[in-house]
Amino acid sequence: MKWRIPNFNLLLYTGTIMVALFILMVISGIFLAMHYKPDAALAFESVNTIIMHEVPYGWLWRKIHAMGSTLFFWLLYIHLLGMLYLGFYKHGKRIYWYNGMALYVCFVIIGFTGYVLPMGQMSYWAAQVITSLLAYIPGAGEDIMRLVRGDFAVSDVTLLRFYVVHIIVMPLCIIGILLFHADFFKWHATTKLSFNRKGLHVTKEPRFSKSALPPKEAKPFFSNAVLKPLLACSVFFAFFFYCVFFHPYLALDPLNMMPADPTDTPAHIYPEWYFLWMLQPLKSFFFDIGPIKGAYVGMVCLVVANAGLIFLPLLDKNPRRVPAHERPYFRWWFWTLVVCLVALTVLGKLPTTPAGLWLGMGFSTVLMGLFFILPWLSRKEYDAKS
Amino acid sequence: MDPKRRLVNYSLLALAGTGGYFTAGTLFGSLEPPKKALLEAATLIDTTTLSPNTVSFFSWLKKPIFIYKHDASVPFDPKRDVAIGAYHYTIMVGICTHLGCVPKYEEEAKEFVCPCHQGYFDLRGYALRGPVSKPLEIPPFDAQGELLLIGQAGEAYMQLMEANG
Repeated sequence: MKWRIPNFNLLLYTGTIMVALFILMVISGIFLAMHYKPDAALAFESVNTIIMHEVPYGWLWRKIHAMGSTLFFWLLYIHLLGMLYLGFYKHGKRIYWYNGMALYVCFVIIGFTGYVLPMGQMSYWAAQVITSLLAYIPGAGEDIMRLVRGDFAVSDVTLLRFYVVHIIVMPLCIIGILLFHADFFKWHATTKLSFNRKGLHVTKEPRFSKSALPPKEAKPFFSNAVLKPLLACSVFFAFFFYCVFFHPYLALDPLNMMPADPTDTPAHIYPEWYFLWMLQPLKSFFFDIGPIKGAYVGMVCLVVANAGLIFLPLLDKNPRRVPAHERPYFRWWFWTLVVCLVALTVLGKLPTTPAGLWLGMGFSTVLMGLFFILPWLSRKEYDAKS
Repeated sequence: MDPKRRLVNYSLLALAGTGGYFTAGTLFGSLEPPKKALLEAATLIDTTTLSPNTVSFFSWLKKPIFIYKHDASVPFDPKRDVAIGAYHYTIMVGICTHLGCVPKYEEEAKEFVCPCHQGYFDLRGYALRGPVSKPLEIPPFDAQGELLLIGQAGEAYMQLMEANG
C-alpha cells in the first residue's frame, strides 16, 4: 500500500480550494439574500431571528457563510505568502500577481461590506471607523467619505449601498478577475490585435517569452487535473464542515449579537482577525513628532504595506525565480514580513497597553521599512551571485 | 477494471450520491415557507355577527374567504351549503379558478366578477360564464356550534366533499 502521493503539495492547491469555497459562498449567500432585509431597522432581526431561527436550515447557511469568510481569508494569506515565497511573480507570472492583488482588494471590500450587513454593534462601528479612514485621503477626503456613506453618518443609505456592493458589484468583479487569474483567458501566447494606418493589424507575437522555462513533461490529465484538486478540496472541506458544525462561533463575534446603537461605542472594538494587521499600525503611532502627526504615520504605514505588496514584482530586483530558502537575503526578508504580520495581528487582538503600543510601533516601522529596503536588498543578493 | 478498484469506486459514488441527495434536501428545505406562516392556518368566525342574505369577507392563509349567509327564502343546495343554526352558509375561497385573481362582488347583479378576464360566478360560487369552468373552492372548515373554524376539516365539510364526488 503506497500512501505517498507524488508531486502533491497542499500549498499549490490553495487557489483551487479558494475557487471551490467561493462557489460555496455564492450558494450560501444566495440563500441568505432570500431572507435578509437591507434596512437599518430590520436587518438585525432578519439575520439573528428570521435566518437563525425561522428559516429552515437558515442557521446552516449563515454559519457556512461566516466560517467560509474567515477560512477564505486564512487561505488567501497562505496563498499570497506562498506565492511570494516561491517567487511566482516573475518571468511571465507577473500578470498573475497583479490579478491576484486586484482580487485581494476586491475580497477586502467584500469582506468589509459583508461584515456591516447584520447591523450589530461591531458591524456598525466597523463601518463608522473604516469610512472615517477615508477622510484622511489628502484633498477630497471628506467628500469621498460622504460619497461612500451616502449620508452624514453610517445609516440606512450606507447599509443599502454596502448590500449592493456585497452581493452584486464585488462578486461580478471577482468572477471577472478570477477568470484571468486562473488562466481561463490566456493573454500570453495569443494573437495580438492592433490598429495601424492600414486598419486592423494582426501579429502572432507572444506577449512575452516563455523560453526561459524548460518544456514541461506531459502528465495524465484525470489524475493530475481532476483527482488531485478533488483530494485537496475534500481534505479542506472536511476540516471546514467540522468547524461549521462544532465551532461556529469562531466566526461569529458575540459583540455583534447586540443591535447597533449609534450613540454607544463598545469599550473594545476590533475588526475581524484578517484586518487586524492593517488596523494595528493606525493605533501604534500614538504621539506626534513636531509637525508630523502620529495618525498620519499610521496611515502611511497602511498604504506602504499594501502598495508594497501590490507592486512587489517591481521592488524585487533579483530576476532569478527561486524559492525563498535558496535566496540568502530574501529568506530573512520574507520571514521578517511574516513575523511582522503575525505580531501585528496578535497585538491588534489584545487590549491596548503602553508596552503593546511600543511593540506595535516597532513592528509597524519594520513592516514599512521592509518594502523600502527590498530593491536594494534583492539587487545586492543578485550581485552576490547566490 | 480490477474488482477491488471497482468496489472502491462504486462505494465512493454511493457516498457522494448520498451527500448530494441530502445537500439537495437542504437546499430545497430552506425554500419552504417558514413555520411562522402556519400561524395564519386557522381563522375563527362567529357566524351570529354576519348579516343575512349578503356576502361577508374574511382572510385565511393570506387568501380571501367569501361567506354567503342566507335564510330559508333561498333554497338549500346540498353541494355548496352548510346549515348552522337557523341559517345556511356558503363558504368559498375568493380566488378565481381561472388564473388566481380575486373576484369582485357586484351588489346589484348578485354575482362575483373577476376583473382579470371577466369570469362570472354566482353567489354560491358556481361558474356562470367567461373563461371559468370550475366553481370557487370550498376551504376546509369545521362548524362548532355557532362558531366557524376555517382551516380544519370537520364533519360538514366531509359531507360536502362527498356530495361533490
